[in-house]
Amino acid sequence: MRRLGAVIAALALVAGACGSSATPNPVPSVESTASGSEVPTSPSVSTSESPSGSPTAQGSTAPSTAAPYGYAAISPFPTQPVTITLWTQPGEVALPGFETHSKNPGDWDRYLAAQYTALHPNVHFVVQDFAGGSEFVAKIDAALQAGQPPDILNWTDGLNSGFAHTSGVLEDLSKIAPTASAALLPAYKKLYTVNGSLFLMPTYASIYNFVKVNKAMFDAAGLTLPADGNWTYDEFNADMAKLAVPGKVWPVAIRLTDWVTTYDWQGFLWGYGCEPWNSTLTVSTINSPACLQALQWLIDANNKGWIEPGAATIDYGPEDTLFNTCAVAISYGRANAVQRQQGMAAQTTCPMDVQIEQWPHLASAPPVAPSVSTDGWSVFTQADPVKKQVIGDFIDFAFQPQYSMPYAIQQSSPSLYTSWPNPLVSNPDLLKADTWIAQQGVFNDGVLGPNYLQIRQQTAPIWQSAFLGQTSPQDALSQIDTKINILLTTPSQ
Amino acid sequence: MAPFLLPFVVFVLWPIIAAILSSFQRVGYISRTWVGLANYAAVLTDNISLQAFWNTGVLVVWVVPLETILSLAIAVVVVRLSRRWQSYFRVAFYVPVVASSVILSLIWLWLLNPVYGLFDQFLGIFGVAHVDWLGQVNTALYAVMFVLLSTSLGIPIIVFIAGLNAVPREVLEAAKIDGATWPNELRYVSLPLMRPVIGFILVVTTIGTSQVFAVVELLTKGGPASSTETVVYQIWERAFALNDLGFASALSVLLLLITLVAAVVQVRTLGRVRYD
Repeated sequence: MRRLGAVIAALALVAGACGSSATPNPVPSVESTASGSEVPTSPSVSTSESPSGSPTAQGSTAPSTAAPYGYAAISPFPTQPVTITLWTQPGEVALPGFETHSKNPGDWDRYLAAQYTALHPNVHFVVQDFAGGSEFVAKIDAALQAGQPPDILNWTDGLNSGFAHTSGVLEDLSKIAPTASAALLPAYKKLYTVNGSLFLMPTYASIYNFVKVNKAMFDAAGLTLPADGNWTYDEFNADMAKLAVPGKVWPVAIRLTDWVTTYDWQGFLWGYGCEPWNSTLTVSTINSPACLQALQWLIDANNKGWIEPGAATIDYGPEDTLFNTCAVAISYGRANAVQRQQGMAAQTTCPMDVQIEQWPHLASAPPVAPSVSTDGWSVFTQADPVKKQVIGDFIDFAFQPQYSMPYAIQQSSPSLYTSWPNPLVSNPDLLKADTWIAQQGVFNDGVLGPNYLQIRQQTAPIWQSAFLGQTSPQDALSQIDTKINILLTTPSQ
Repeated sequence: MAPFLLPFVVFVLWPIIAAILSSFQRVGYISRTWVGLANYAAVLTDNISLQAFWNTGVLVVWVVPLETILSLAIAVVVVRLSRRWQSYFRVAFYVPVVASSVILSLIWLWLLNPVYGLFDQFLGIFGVAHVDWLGQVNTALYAVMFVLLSTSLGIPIIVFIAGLNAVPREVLEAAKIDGATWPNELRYVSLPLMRPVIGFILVVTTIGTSQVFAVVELLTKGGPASSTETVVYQIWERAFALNDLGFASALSVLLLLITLVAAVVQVRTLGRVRYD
């Protein structure tokens, strides 16, 4: 018995120390981060309100090319009480025209729920909002494993697309929400259909896979940026050589820091005609002559002093500082990067004129089209057919343009639905990217492929190793190719 | 006993058992499947995990002795000062413990920045510029080690000061009467009596160092090229970023076993005072 006590004491000692400050605590308690609340059955806002930010209200500037949406509530509407749980992660606030109804994260979802409850008082919502990325994933994973997922999830596709690849977890939205899914543009419908099932109804798309450029530095060096964003590597290399000042200016800032940031630099590979995988995302094509050439270019660029010191471990803050002090001229793109840059005007210590450009590409290869990452709604499998029907109707209701557009406008989203006028009309920078998408399509970097996160995580150290000259480019690509192929054939969790 | 036992079982024992069970399972979104030792096999054939174990071992081998020796040396000096100065140094050395490791890591991140960091500016005076301490494979782990040391000395110093103050005065006086000089008194009287304290510090710092996370997350994210990847960082990444709970549990169990063995060895070796 004493020995047993000693073992328990030893376990307690080790486990107790496990709780020291060195231990991560990645799963916050729900109580501390979630502001779950129930939507009152009597909404405080009048349903006759006409928000100034609705597409109609701003129609003077938006193109009137939207198709009618055609929502009509299911009839006859079920009379039995229905309670719908909705978990939301993004929690954007201050939506244009709806500022008073989106003051706090989750308010917007609550507002939509309240609007619906006003029409159907027997439908009751429990809306909870959650902060964080991986913490939210952990929460969902735990709920799924406990058999208690929410009914509706407002989430980010790229966070964890494993759900979509596990049959029986999510409902096919094309069946339960026919009006919204009919309005969804075909390119996005294709993107979010896995095994014939539409698993996500996107609320907005974030465009990425391009670069932001400080045009002022190019102007000062007497260089001209391509007007249409179309840059060949010959032009790009010539510009970099002129911009670089040893020890002072490194024209390009990239982050190879971890798997999260692959899309901030891998465009340099795609510009060589390097393709990460085949069109069905089932086989790696990374070990190719084009990818080898591209990787060699990246290594050479680093050796020439074109890439900032610390690229292998740098974080966003220091990278932004380099950009804001004109120590670099080109940095990561993405819709939110442009917004972020606009918010950093006060930190800028040198002439700054930010605009976006496409990645450089070989004259013999096509330009690198932008990619998109989307937030949206998914529905977990429903056992009750009536509830399923009501949830579908609620989604059709919530994706009416007057409700879905403000979110898209605030998030600088390109148009996702035939019923939307282009939300980017007042954002000339991103409208440029939208034009590239219209001309070149969307570059599928595999964000929705199976085990996408695992592939990025497992290959990141190998890319770093090649970049730093620890591994030859040939060996690195061979190792990466092997890793990707193993992971592509490994079932998602 | 019950008031202690209940939270211990719920919040400590059961999670340990659950982690052990998960390490033999493939944990999916809606199902758990027994996979035997497959997760352990995966861990032991995964290059990143093996590198993480290696790096963690290197950190323990360097940081634990250095931390113990440095903090003991500081405590030996401080304990000879007046009470007022002892209090001052206690506070000074304890402040980094109270401060969040996140904040300290961020400060170090800026100090070590290869373009505008303080170290870079200082070395620039001597013509050495833009040393990428955190971004080079051959320096990153040592930079992490340095930061770790700088932020973790507080507790051992406080404990050693308390331990040295607890050495019975009569024993020290007897040694003085016998003609022992200060170094001899330290070597033959104080340090032998401090063995349980040293043992405790070794166990605690070994466990703490083997669980480094925040510093790595903030300084290097395990890079470059896995050169600063640690086991706990891998556990976190596998479990909460990649949702591979089975793999992460196997890593956790292996770390628990290794740490447990190390703790038992240290306690058995240094935990008792021998009066020769």
